[in-house]
Amino acid sequence: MPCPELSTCNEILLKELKNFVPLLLFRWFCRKEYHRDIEGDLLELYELNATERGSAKAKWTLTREVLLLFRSGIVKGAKKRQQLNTTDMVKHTIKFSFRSYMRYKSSFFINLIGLSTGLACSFLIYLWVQDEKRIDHFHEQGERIYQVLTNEDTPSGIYTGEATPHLLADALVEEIPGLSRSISFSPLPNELIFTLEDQKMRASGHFASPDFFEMFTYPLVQGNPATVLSDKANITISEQLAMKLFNGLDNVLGQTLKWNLQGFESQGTITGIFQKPGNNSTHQFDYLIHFEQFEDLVRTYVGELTWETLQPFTYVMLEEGQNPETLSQQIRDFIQKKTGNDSPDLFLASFENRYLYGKYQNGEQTGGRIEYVRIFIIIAAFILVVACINFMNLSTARASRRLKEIGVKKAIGAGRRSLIFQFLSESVLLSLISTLLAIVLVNAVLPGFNRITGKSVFLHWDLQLIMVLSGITLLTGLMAGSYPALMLSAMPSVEILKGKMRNSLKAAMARKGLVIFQFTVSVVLIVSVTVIYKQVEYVQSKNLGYNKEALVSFPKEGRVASELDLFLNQARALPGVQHISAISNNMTRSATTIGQLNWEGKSPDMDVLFQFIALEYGMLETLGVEMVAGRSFSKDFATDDTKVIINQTALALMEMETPIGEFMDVSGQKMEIIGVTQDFHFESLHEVVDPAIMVILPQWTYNVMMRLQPGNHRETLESFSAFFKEFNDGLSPDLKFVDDSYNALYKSEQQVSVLSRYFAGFAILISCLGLLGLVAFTAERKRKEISIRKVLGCGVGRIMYMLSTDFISTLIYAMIVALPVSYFITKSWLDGFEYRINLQWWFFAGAGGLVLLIAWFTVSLQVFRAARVNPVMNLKDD
Amino acid sequence: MKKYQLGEFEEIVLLTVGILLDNAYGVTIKLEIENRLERTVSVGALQTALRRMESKGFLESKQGEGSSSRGGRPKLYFTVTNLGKEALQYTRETRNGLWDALPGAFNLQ
Repeated sequence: MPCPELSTCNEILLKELKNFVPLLLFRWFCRKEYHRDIEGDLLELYELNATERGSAKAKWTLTREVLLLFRSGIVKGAKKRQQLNTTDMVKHTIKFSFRSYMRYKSSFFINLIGLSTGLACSFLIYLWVQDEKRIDHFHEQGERIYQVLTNEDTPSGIYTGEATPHLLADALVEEIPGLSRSISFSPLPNELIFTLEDQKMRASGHFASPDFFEMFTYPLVQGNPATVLSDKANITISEQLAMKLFNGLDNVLGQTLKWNLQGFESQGTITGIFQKPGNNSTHQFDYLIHFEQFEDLVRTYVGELTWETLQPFTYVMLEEGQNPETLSQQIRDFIQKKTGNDSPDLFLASFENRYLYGKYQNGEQTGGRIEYVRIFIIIAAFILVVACINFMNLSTARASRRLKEIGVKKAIGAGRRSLIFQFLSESVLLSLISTLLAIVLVNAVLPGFNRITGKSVFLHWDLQLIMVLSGITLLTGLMAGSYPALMLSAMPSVEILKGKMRNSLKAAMARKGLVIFQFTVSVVLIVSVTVIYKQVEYVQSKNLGYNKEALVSFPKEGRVASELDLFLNQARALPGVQHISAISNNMTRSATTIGQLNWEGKSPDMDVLFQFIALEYGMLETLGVEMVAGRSFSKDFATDDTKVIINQTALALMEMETPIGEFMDVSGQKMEIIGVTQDFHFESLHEVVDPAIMVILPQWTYNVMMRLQPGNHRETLESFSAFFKEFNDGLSPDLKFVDDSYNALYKSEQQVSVLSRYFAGFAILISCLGLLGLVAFTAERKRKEISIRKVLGCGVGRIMYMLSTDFISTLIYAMIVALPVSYFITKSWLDGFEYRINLQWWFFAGAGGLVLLIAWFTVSLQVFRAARVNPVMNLKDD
Repeated sequence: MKKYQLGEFEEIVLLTVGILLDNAYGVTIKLEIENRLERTVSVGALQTALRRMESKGFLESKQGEGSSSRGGRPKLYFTVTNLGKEALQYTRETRNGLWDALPGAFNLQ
């Protein structure tokens, strides 16, 4: 029994407990229906304890009691009765969703096709992006691997390159604390010829320092990563190469292989077999040989290794917790002390990020492939939005048909929340069905997609993929459903039931806005696709200053290297060969640069690098490069190997009035200028033409170029191959057409070009589907009006005009928005190219016209059907 | 048989509600058990047992008038239903049956 006198101090005690946390907690977790009387009990006990043992003790007891009350019978939560209700509601919603899909089949299919294509596009793009992000990210200690890059001053700005001084790698690890490893790596993959007894095999690979397998994670099938390259005579080869050479992997270790790289011969013992790097690696190699062999090769052909000649790539591994910025600064200081020169300037760049962030302009990181990744993510988002808009438009347009349902539901007590829930579940359910369809689609098109992109992606069902797919599905469903759900649930029920509701003006305006947005996206995509296509085409057909048709290139290797003169003379005599000669470049990448140049009138503070091109006689004729002044090299002049030819860019830089007969100082040697060539591109069109000097220096050449006579190229190449094989002890030549290699430089542009063409196609398909739905809906709603007009004598043409003007004007608004937007987008894309097309007015007019035409066709098809209908059919009901 | 199942604590609570007759609500039940059995009873344990037996049909509850004491919160009075009485009876009989069945050789001392 509560003591009666306690009630007098009741109020004071209550005040004390007003904000007592445990009590608040109790109120929060306790079930509504128990809360009042249990709290009464607690308060009463508190009063009792407080008078007996003091309020501090009482509070403590109260806290304890509250904590002990936290048990399943007391805590509020999902109650059985409510659960039943929720499952019933879900069942109801699903049933209603399916009924509405079935009743309005056309909008269901339009939505289904739109959403599933949209989702399929974004899934594909997701797979592509994931694959791009995986490249080079498989090395166990990847985040500690950095590459040393060099900034060099050139007349056209700072050039950022990968070639580093020969002596760098060893010096770095000794003199810079904080680096645990440092390796040299030969720049381009070198094609060399392995000889095993009388068997010859060509393979492409690299030279690398001993630590290579310790730094990078390329698994070894046989051999120990720590020692596999420890000796100068060690060779490691890939499984595939081992299979080809030895027909098996047994007894391969310890075998001796002879190799020949462009005349340089050596041999070594196989000490390891590695798994060939997969598609996710930027390094691709079939063999790795100790780096000192490469240094020997350089010593033989170029000269002593110095701090000035830049050639190998250098990779370093940072010790745990080191900051690349501070190390970069240390390396910069170190190299300046070594060379006493500001250029080249060295810095560290993360190896893992090199693939996506590989582009530097004027020494600043300016993107790279990451730009394509971003473009595609944006395209995916746009296509999804366009597909969602279809759903929004069709649902709000058809709202009038569901008004009765909404009204009745509201009248019998459905809250706004449950209506929103209903419409959202309807759209989420639809997007779920679309996702399933999209997965089927993706699986169907993946082989084609892989062919276009040169990847090997597939749907790999792991947790991440499932999470992302369900995330995209849910997001799409919510995005598509949100607007209709909010709009439909907000309608006043009384007016709905009285039948006073009309499709509001606001909703119609919103629909128009969304259609404008859809078509804007379509037009922008089409303009972009046209520009990308034109640019790629332009690049491939641009006059390069030399003739790349029927020009074949192959490496100078084996006996061709050692007896070049003999080879060229014999080859010249072959039928179908017009010209043949050797050069140090392959016309797709820069080869050698030279800085130690001097001439009369050179300003002392001018510090530029020239391209250094080594030629054999007859090379300029083979390439078809025209002379602007002077003459080409000729064997008729005995001393032409001490003469030099420059290009127009070099002439402009040297500011000479009459260059012919002037002398220039090349690495301390005085050489007479005998000619000036027109500029020709020896690199990709991303780069400008650098100043270049050309000299006769056959021992420096790496490639042989051959011009074929017009006629049957295949026959010529067959007879040439036979000759080459005979000359080179059974080795067949590795012939490449220069225009093929040149086009390969633009592979990523071409991939983007093709992919974006498809995506633009999908965007316009989805947009038109939506438009089709809207037009069909309008025509159906106005069918009585149309019939009456027809009865009163209105012609088909007039009715079509009446029905389509509204849509066509909406489309024209879309054009007005789209054209300036696409202009800015394409212009900024083109700005990344050194040589680019001008934007033509007809790109825009063409894209706009095309979209208008397709849309108009869509509209008229429906409108024509509606206008042709027999009025009796629609009027007999009334 | 199953329908009369009573736990040990439930049995104590049911009996105490019976003892208190017209004055059985949370606080009195708790104090009564604590006094008689010399064990502490938490409000949580008591309330769960009460609600559980109410849902089983052994107890009935009736809201008292709101009073100015207890922060104005009403008391919830419990009474034992006929089913509750049957359950108590049944429990007692089964216990007695077990006691009676103890053989003489089982020396309690």
